Amino acid sequence: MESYRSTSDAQGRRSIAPLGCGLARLRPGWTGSIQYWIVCGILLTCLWLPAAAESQVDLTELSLEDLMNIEVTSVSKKAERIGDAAAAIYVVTKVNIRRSGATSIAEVLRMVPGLQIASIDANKWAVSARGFNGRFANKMLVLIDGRSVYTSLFSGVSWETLGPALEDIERIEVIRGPGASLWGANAVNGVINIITKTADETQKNYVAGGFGSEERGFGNIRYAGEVGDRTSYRASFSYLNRDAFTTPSGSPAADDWDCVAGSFRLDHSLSIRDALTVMGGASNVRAGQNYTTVTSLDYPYYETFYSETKQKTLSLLGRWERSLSPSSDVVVQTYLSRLAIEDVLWNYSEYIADFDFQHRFGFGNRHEFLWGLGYRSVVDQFAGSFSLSYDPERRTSHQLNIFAQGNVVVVPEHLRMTLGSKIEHNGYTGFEIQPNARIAWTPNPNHTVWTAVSRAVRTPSRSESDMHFVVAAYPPGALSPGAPTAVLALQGNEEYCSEELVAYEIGYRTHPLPRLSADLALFYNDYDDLRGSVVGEPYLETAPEPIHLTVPMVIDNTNMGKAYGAEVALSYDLLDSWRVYGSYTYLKVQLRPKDGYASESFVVYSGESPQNRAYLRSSIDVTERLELDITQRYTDRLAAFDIDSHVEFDVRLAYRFGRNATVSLVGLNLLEKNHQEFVPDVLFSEPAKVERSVYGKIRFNL
Amino acid sequence: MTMSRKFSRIMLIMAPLLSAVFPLSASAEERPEYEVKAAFVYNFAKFVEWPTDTFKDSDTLLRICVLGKNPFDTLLEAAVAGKTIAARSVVVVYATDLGQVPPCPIMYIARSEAHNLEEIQKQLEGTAILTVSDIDDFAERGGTIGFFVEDKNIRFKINVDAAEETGLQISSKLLRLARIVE
Repeated sequence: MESYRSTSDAQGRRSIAPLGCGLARLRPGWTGSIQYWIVCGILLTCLWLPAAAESQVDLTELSLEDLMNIEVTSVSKKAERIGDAAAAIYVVTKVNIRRSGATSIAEVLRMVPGLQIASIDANKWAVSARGFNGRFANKMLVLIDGRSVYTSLFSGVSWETLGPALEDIERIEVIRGPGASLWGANAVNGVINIITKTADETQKNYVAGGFGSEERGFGNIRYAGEVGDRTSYRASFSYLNRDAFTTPSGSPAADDWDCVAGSFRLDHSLSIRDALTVMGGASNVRAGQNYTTVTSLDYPYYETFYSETKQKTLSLLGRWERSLSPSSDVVVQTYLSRLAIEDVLWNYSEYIADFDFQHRFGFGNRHEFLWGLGYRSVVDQFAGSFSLSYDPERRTSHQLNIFAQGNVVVVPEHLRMTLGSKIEHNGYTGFEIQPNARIAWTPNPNHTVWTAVSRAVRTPSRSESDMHFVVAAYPPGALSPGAPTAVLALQGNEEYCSEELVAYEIGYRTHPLPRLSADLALFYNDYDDLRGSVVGEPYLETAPEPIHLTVPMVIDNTNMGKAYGAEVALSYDLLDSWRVYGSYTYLKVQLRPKDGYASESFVVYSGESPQNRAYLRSSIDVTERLELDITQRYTDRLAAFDIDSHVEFDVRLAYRFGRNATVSLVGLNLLEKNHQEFVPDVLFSEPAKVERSVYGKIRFNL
Repeated sequence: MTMSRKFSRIMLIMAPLLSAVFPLSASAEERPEYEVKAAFVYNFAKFVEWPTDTFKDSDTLLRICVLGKNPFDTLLEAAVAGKTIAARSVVVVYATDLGQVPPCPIMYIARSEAHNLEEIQKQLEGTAILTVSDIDDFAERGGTIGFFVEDKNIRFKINVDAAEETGLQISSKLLRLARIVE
């Protein structure tokens, strides 16, 4: 078979990246193309636009009117107005987090236009944007305060382990579309940035707790304080225990979830120019499920058994931000993190050390330049079983990156342009280049039109490179007359390349009335080298006994395709005390095998997302003390999984007693007794239906 | 592909960008937020009249107090150094606790105090103190002058009722430039 390049047997492994991946795959002649040089030419011209210089004067000599015309920068990093951003961005504010009534980060994200969120069971979620959703959705990068929580084990996020208490989150910025030129590989379909409050902003101690039909019990406590007038700190602790959902046959599922998490943050201002942050967290998570998988070569091969996955996370991050001048600053950040997973089928542990440097500076009032470099090292160890094993069991990988981005105001207040790229080197595929170009046109302050072209890659995961996963077993004679016992094994491939995306986006944001804002984004994504698998030559294995035939299904870049869609979001203040949010997402994904790959190699490990999704929420302050939120959600059917469309309904009512006590009552998924949202993909855990749930919560300021 | 060819490819892509964006010197017309705010605070003092019993004739100082975590570093001192208002030298006093504060006609309440603002307001009730802060909605919450940022410019709101209750007279020039909060 011509297109079948290698099996991932133990002999053929190489530590250097194979040819034909990464940079070598840049489309031929790209840098020589006329478009590239036109873009560079425009940038050059813009960058040399005259920059006005102004001498520094004593501000107290200025009149009040003149003072009011001076532009300021703050010590903390400049926050771009959403209205100005040339990207599909949505910010979940702390108020909306509170008012959502959600008890986990993944569920908060249901309000974000363009995201697809599904509960697989009570402790597993599928979260993605613009398609390819699944438990191991691999095209969304997730960061908490600049720390990546995307694990290279399976390219994805263990949402059930994410630590920070919801009350400590300042905001969640969700960028749909590639963010790779700034954030690096794997920010393919989007980036979720979870940003926690500074210690200054969380100086109120509180304790909260509650329980309900599904939430068997949860609680949070925060202790904060100050040391001198330059240092503040907080420590938070949270606990959640969730009851199991229901299996499709109606019996109780085995998917309990128990999560204990603690975190601390310390902010110190060394001087007015320097801010130092140290933060850390730990979580201890127990998540249950029933697996059905091949556990031995003896009849009946398959076994269904309960497994409680224990996950422990630890992280420690330090960041130093220094303002060099009003228009320039430097950020140095480093973190260490650890993830340990213990399961019946496998044990895994990974240590990550990461270092990042970033420098922003402006020159003149039209140019801003951002550049940085980073290094990451991942050391992991996998102890497997007959069902699931990795070769090699230990692996250390290094990743180096450098990025540069220029922002240019072409016409003041009206036209801005961003051009930048990240170049990184990783141990699996070598060099990867991820450029983007963005233009935002603001004819007047109430309207912005933006467009962007970007390239992003999703680098191979440890599993795609090194995994051996027995997915099926056949009794003697079943495959062909006289054949021994046989297994079908999904195997990693050392020569597996990155998945590649070139994305074209256009968007429009408007604020036509003081009370109304609207946001529209359209995209066309062109994917290449998507994951699929190729069935290889069967071979005999003697260990474990008895002698058996292994049919390898080798992961390879067999597929390509396109996705396109539209995302619309509206926010309207009917009254000062009544705001309505609405959003609608349309998505179409079309994948096919690449030329030369047979259609039977097209195995669906590419996830699934609904074609239509709608969200409507009404947020009312009934009185100064009473908040009422009503949410309605529609999710289209998932054709590949044969899951019906559903409508659901959430309500939250909260009342504040006096100054320090709040009582809330929340109903989630109220419309149906239960409904199924997704299926477990890749790992064969039992499907579960989300149940109607009601809980009460009480919160005291201490 | 050899390593050097890969590298030359990268350079080919990056060269125009790098050569274009590394300037020899940087200049900017933006100023640090708190340098501008410090200048405002000094200016406010010129446009406010305090009740006659606020100052004794013998007072030679006008104190500006900063309550909470000082956001100015030394910028406020730099702004008022050597300056006088109504023949009184302006000095800056820092305090983290209201109990430590000497008589101050102007009090800047730092953002760090946002969580006990109500407490502070209560203690200051009835005193002729010009309170200034950049705590969100400071004027709406009963403070005298609240800063906010609008498109990178510093703006301020004045709570006229709060000023009048305490006997402060704010000049019409200042009111004209402010957003008035009733």
